Amino acid sequence: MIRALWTAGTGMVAQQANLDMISNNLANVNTTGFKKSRVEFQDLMYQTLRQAGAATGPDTQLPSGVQVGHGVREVATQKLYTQGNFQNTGNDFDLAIEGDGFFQITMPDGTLAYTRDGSFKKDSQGRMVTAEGYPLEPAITIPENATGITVSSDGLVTATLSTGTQDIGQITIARFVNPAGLESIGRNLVKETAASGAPTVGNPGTDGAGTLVQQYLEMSNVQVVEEMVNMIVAQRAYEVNSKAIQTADDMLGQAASLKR
Amino acid sequence: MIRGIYTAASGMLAETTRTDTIANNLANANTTGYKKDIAVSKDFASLLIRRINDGQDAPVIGTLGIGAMIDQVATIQTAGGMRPTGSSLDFAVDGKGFFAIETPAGVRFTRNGAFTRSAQGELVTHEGYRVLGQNGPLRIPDGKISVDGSGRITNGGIAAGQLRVVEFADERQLVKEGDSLFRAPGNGRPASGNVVQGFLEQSNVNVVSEMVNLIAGYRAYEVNAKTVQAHDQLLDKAVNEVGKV
Repeated sequence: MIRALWTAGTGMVAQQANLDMISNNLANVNTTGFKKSRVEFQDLMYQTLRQAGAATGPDTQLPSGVQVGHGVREVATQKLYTQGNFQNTGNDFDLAIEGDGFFQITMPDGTLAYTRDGSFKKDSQGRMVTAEGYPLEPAITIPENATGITVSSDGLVTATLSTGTQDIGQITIARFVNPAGLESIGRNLVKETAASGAPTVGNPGTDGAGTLVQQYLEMSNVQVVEEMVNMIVAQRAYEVNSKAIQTADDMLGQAASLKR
Repeated sequence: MIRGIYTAASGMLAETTRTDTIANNLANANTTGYKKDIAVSKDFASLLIRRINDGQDAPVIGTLGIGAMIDQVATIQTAGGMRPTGSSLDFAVDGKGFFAIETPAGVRFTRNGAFTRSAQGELVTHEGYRVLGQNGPLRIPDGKISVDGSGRITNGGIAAGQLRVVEFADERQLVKEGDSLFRAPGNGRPASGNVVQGFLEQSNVNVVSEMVNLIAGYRAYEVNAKTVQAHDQLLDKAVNEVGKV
């Protein structure tokens, strides 16, 4: 049958994936620490009907051949780790990372996950935990009689007690060679993969790691205008591909009606 | 049988291939660094029609075309629009030039500069193929890198290699391989274009002209189909009316 049907079909499928990604970005426009993704497309294989460079005479050759492409596919959904905007919350337990790196979180199964969402809370045991209740790694436990905590830009946590101040821990930051290779597991968390490489853990502000800002949260880095423009482009691309399918179908109809 | 049936059918086949090419362009309307194809058709060699067996002064009737075929699918290497992405590992070439990529099948070339850093710290494509610098694969230092127009990579003022960006004297010799890659006969020469960081080159498909071509191709297909039908009607008359017994 006519190749164009499937070729244009791949275009429609690819634009659906594009729209799915845009929808997810828009859905998370107000999610703390969310990083937007984009879909990367590449063209599919080509069928060579006539080989370029084939001899057409004793010393002449075809300058260009006949190659027909088979459409498009999505090759990657890439997360873009650009800095989101900061929002002042006035809450001592809210931390933002200015620069590279992730907070380390201990999951219920004991493995580590990573996040840019620094909206921490205090659990019943006084530990600093995420909204899901997963503790920060290394664990920070706030004394019961503390009236407040201070987090310095290099991650040192100090509790204010009635008797004075007391150092209660050091927040470390994990960095990855290839953050785009991290696997998203939802709940604002990502996991290490073979593509991301192993984490380099260090104090904030050292070896290129970002610094901490207390009482601030990092908002998502989704730009609504950009996503809306991408949505329009995706819809129109979907539309022209459906027109190509209709045309190919009409051509098949013509071919079928040749025989009376 | 009647020659015209085959002639008109060859026109339909050529338009089918043209539609396939347009469909591929439209499917890749949003593909980074994609270059559109156009199908160029040509007529078959004409036949010389001559009366023979008429003695000395056989009059020449002339020549007769016997249809069309797709002669070449040419890739149009005009620049696509530039889209800012804000990612420091996205590159575009402003002007002529291709990034050199090391693939298992040899060195390939691309205008798609959406690269990432591998776990080993090398600059790679989304396929995992290593991006080549002037001296082999590029190792990208940790942290923010900046790249100047000639592709020199620096990290905090320290040089960290240079992207290999090449152009070709005859871009028609580049053959598409899919995955945004082109195969070239040689290694090319240093490119005259400038590398731009934080931008991606969009596909150069113009949706309006593709739609116009789609309509034109469809109508050409339709008239050829009508010609086949007209020939069939002629045959019908010849078989069922003239030869009535």
